[in-house]
Amino acid sequence: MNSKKIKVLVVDDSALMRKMIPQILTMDPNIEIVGTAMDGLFALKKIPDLKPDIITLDVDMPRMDGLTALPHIVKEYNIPVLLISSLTEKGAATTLKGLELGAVDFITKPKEAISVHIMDIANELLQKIRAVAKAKTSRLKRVNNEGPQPQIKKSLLLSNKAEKVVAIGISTGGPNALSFILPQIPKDFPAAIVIVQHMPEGFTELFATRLNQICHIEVKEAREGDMVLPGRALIAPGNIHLKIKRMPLGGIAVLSRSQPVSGHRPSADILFDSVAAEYGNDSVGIIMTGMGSDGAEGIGRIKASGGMTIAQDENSCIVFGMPKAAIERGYIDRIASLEEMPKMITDIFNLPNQFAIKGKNDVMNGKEVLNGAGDN
Amino acid sequence: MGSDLTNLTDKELEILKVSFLVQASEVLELLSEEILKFEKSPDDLDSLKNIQRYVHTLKGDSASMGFNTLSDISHRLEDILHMLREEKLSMDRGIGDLFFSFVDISAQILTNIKEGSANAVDTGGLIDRINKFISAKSEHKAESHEKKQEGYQHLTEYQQLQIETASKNSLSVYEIKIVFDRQCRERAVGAFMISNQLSALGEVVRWLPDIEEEGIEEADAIDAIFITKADKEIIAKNCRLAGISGKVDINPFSFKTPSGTHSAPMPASSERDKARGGKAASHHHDATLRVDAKKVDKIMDLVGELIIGRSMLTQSVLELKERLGKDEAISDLENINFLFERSLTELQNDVMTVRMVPIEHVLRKFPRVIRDMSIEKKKEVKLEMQGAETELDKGIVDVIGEPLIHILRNSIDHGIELPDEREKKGKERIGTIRINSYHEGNQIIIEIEDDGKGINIEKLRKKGVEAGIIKEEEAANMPEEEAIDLIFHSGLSTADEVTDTSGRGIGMDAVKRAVGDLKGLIQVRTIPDMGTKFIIRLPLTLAIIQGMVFKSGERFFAFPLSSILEIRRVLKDEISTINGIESLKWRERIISLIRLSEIIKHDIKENGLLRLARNYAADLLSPEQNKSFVLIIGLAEKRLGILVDKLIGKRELVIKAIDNGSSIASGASILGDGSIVLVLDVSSFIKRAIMPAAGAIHESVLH
Repeated sequence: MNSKKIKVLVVDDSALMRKMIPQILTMDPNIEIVGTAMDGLFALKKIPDLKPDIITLDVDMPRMDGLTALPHIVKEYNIPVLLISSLTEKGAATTLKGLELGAVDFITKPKEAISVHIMDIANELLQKIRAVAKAKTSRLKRVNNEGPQPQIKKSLLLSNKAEKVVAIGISTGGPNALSFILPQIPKDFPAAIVIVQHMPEGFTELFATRLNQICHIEVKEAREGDMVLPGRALIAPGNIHLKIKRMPLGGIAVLSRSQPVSGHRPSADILFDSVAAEYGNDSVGIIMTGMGSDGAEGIGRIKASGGMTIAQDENSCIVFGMPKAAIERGYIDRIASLEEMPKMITDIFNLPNQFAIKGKNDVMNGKEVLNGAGDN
Repeated sequence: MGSDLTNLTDKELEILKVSFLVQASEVLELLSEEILKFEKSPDDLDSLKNIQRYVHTLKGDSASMGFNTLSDISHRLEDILHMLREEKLSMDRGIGDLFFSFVDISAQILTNIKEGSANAVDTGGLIDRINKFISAKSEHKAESHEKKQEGYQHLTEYQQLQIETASKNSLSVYEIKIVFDRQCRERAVGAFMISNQLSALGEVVRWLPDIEEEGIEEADAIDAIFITKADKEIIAKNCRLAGISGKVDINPFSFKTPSGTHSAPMPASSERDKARGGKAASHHHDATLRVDAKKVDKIMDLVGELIIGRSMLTQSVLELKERLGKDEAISDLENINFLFERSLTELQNDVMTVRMVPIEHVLRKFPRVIRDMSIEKKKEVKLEMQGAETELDKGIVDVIGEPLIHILRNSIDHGIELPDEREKKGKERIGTIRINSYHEGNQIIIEIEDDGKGINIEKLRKKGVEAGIIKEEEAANMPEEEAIDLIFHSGLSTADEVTDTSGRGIGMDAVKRAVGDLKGLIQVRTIPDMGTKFIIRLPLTLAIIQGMVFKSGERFFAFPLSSILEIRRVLKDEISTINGIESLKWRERIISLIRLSEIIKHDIKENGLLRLARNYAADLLSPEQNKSFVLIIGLAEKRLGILVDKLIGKRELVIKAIDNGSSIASGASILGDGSIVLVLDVSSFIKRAIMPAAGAIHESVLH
């Protein structure tokens, strides 16, 4: 591994946080705190001297807040930023804005006592710091669909129930990746999309609203009983599992607050399992950037039930965790970079026969996996 | 990767806790200030934003530390702030009160945390009040919201689809309301049976409440949306089960008809008023109190009187004791007097602290001055401040600001060089001005230091001669320390050109005067190309001073300790007479000596001062001056030696004004034994001995 330490600059207006974050981070001998700053202005002043590898940035600060400082950091210094935000509605909005402005990831300030949850928070913070330090900033060109799309409320009577479903499991780096992919999905996309993006409660609704404004398809946070429809993407609400279920009149979203699975709620494993069970070979499972291995087993069941499986490649992942776990288990048919992903998704449905035969014949064959990335 | 992680040790947590407490208390203080500000100008959005930010920080930090009570109430208060921000609520006295009780309760929580007290602070009242504000204001909104929730929106997309599909396929959709029979105990079972009956006839889109949930046992009625081919009567028949269902209502379903009203009435307004007006409201102003400064002065005066009174009492007790010998009543009196003294000392200290404010109030303006000046002068200057929290009397703070700013401007204008020049000298391009204040005994010391070019003393001598302040040979012989003091002369500036900010030579003169008026002292140190340092010594307070009490003749006098530079014994042969003036060599300069008795004698003649001391006039008038202590007093750059007969020592003196126009005494005080001390005014004293030509005082003395 790289012996060079990860140099971190902590920007936070709370003196407590300026003490606590370094204390947690220095638990890892490979992380070095090169400095702290109490607002954006100080941070911008200190960056040239301190040359940090990564900056933790509080969004809410006096004088110059995180969102104002962020574009400077990204454009002028190209240093990856981990946003530190609060678990509030306002916090969610600014955080999402921050991700749009080029922050690589975010972490929410501990809601509960650190003395109790120190391990969780410490682990999350450390993992994200390590992941973000590796991240290449603002690699993506954002797709701009020029303003909000007029959203035509589909009449539920037009029986356009989805016969095909694309399920996506995604975590760290997801907001930016989804903001890249979903706007490129055409309005007449014939399949429904269901997504588990690991995000706290309150963030997902805003995230969906934002995506809806830049996408041709409809994007919404899933509610109980929502229809699974072509040209619509449902995002699992934070802290709630999303399953889909086939009903006589079409597929619906089923929400539950049952125990977290694979350490997550919503869990991609739960979603993938239901997709495999209900849609079988009419489904496509996609596993993308993120820490851990949530979704790896579930996507295996999609493959086993005849669906097609795709993983994001290592190079374009912010964190190559979940896709790696799925690939290693041999559950993946194709590997695509983030740039290739939109085309790969749409092409599957333009070539119906290819879709139909997928899974039956190519299963268990590592060849596709190995060559998949360059194929399309 | 988890193996290299360790839990925070207790010590680390403790350190976090301490820094949390420090920050939280600061935040509460700032919050109070901001609330007051916001109360005054409720349209000030910045103020509201600041309040929001403070509360937010408090919430986040306390949650991180696990102090949930504090984070909870902060969270609740944020709701109110949010409503203010959204203009759903407008600032009024009631909300101000609410804010302040939040501050008080938070402070109490912090205190408990600090002291490790397990006592929970009762936040229930506060939360109730917050809730009342919120519910009161959102009553209207909540109602309309509720309506929206009814009907169409209540159904999931799939349920809507089911209903639409049914209508399209010519099926009927009914809303069925079934009231449970009072006899029905097992309502879950009953509902299940009804559900079974209906399922044979069609499809239930949804049950309200959900018949599979536990809450069903408490329900009085259940409500179904039902799709069927069957007609109303058959449905009704199937719904009626003996012992289970009572009344059954069946209506065609419509998206527009609300299926029932479940809204709970909001608390009545009378309840709200009660909460606002009653006891709760009377507690909130405990935190801060704004009082007219004059009232505090008045109290200070009275405390002074009390101290004098007690001194006299002590004296009387002593006398009584002498006269009557050992007596129980007298020893009681002694004890009472002792108690009295202790409380009085405490009272005096407390009243004094009320008047104390941090010097920060003055220093706050400095960064701005530096910013503006350095732009104007094209210089680069940074400011370093230390000891901004040092406290001193408000009366002094009010006066000292301007002089300090003047020194600051001088330092930038004349001290700090242009960046290029600094670079040539091998200095950093950015000049530094350091301001340091601290307590030393009963004085506050303020130092203003720059790392500029220093004062050119030779130039100063020349200017002094040119301006006719000193003669040429005087200038040549003048020690450096003395020559520097020339900068305080009016009409003298070393600046080659007169600028807007300084160089007219009037400023430093005013500085000296101001410091003198405050019974303070100003000194200058300079090293060429290294910089200049102004040192200002001020008494902490004007009402009570530390004085050096001494005896001259049979009378007691005192100088403020802050104006005394040195007290030394002086041998007769150390005193030489120059031009008929007694002089003493002191720290490489010659200073004039004054015999106190002489100047007092003159003053009495001239002004009829010391009516109080008439009895002692004879003593005063007979000079006795051989046993010699000399007090070296100073005011700004001036130094004067005072020959005294006997030193009594340092005393805390409560100054009483004397309004008889005395030119040399600034006030009087009373010692413990009841004897009167004249507190001498250094500036007028020195004025009479204008240096270096001490002839002035000599003449007047000989007069």
